[in-house]
Amino acid sequence: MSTLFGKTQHIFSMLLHHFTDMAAVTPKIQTLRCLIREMRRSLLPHENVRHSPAFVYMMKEYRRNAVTDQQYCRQQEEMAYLAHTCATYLEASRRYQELHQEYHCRGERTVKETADIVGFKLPNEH
Amino acid sequence: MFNRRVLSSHRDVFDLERGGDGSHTMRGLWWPVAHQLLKQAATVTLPRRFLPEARRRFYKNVTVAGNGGIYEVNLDLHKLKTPKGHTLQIPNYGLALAVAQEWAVTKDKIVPSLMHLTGLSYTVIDNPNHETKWDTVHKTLEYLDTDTLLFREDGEELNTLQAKEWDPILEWFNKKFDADIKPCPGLFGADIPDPVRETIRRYLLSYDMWAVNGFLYGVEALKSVILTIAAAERKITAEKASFLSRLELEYQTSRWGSVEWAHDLDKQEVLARFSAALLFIHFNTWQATTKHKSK
Repeated sequence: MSTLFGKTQHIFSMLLHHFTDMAAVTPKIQTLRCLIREMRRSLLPHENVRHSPAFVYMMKEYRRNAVTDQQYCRQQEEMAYLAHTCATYLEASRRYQELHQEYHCRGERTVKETADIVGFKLPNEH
Repeated sequence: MFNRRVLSSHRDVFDLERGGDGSHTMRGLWWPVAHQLLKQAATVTLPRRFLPEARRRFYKNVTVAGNGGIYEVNLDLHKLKTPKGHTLQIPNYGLALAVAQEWAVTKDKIVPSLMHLTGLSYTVIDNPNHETKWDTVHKTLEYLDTDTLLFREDGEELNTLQAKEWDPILEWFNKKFDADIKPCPGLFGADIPDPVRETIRRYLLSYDMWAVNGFLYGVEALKSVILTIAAAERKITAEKASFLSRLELEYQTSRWGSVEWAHDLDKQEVLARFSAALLFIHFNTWQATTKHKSK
């Protein structure tokens, strides 16, 4: 029991570590990639992400806030935070819908499906 | 049986109106309710569904139009309208794009309860409860006495964890508002002095109607004013804030195991709601100014 408990504690501390100052640690380019990935999922099959106005706006903002020799950017961190929140929102709502679709959208399950969810096997039927 | 009596009573009613024979004393008992029975026969009850089938996606392209500080979302050639019939006019281009994204992401069925930014914009424009900014702030502040961060567990282990995770945020909050709010033991709410409450009220009132609604939505998701303000001030991320508000749950599931169709679903919902609220606050307080270095 004590080892099991130690293990859960370890996992929990890892979890905590994962969350500490994520916005500061996550590189901005990674947030951008995450945003584009989420945006691409929302497109109809024949569309290209480059043509979507949200993509154009996002790239413009990213470029405008880039630190260059010519301009000094006070809001870079604010924008990074906003982009990170945006990515979080898109991802969380997609995950929610996926989970909802998986577990709550269908009618009643068969005995086998229920057994599969909890990892049981049905006895062989003859 | 019931039908027969009702029908016979109808006949009675007519009989009595024509003078009636009065021989059916038992049936005569229906007379006092006769006018109601007649009325009932006249009303037509139509079956009504309170959970209608979700509408299917009827549009192909979602675009954002407008300039000069007012933006509208178009679904093909239709303007997106609020439930009360106003045109959805959003003061920020980024927010309008985010709302459009919610409609674009809908593949098959339109589920309005999952479009948090659209819903929030509807609420601000329609104002269904006829609230002033003051009312909304007051509603938000009602959550302060029972703030998640102020209730600690008695058990030693969880208590230590809560102190470790929550205390820095509480400390930051106390410093920002020049207060001395302490976690409260037992079931009764924390003791928050009036001057502190008024300071926080003034802070919230300094935002506009749009952002204040975002605050209320965020507080309702996390049940914590302190965490919402900390996230709005960019002290912690949305993920961290929703994690902290679910600290006890996370602790218990890390120990006893989590169930995907309940715990994970709840986690994603809280996160989606809160990050939507945070986006709403930030987009509506966004001031784009770029200073160029002097040459």
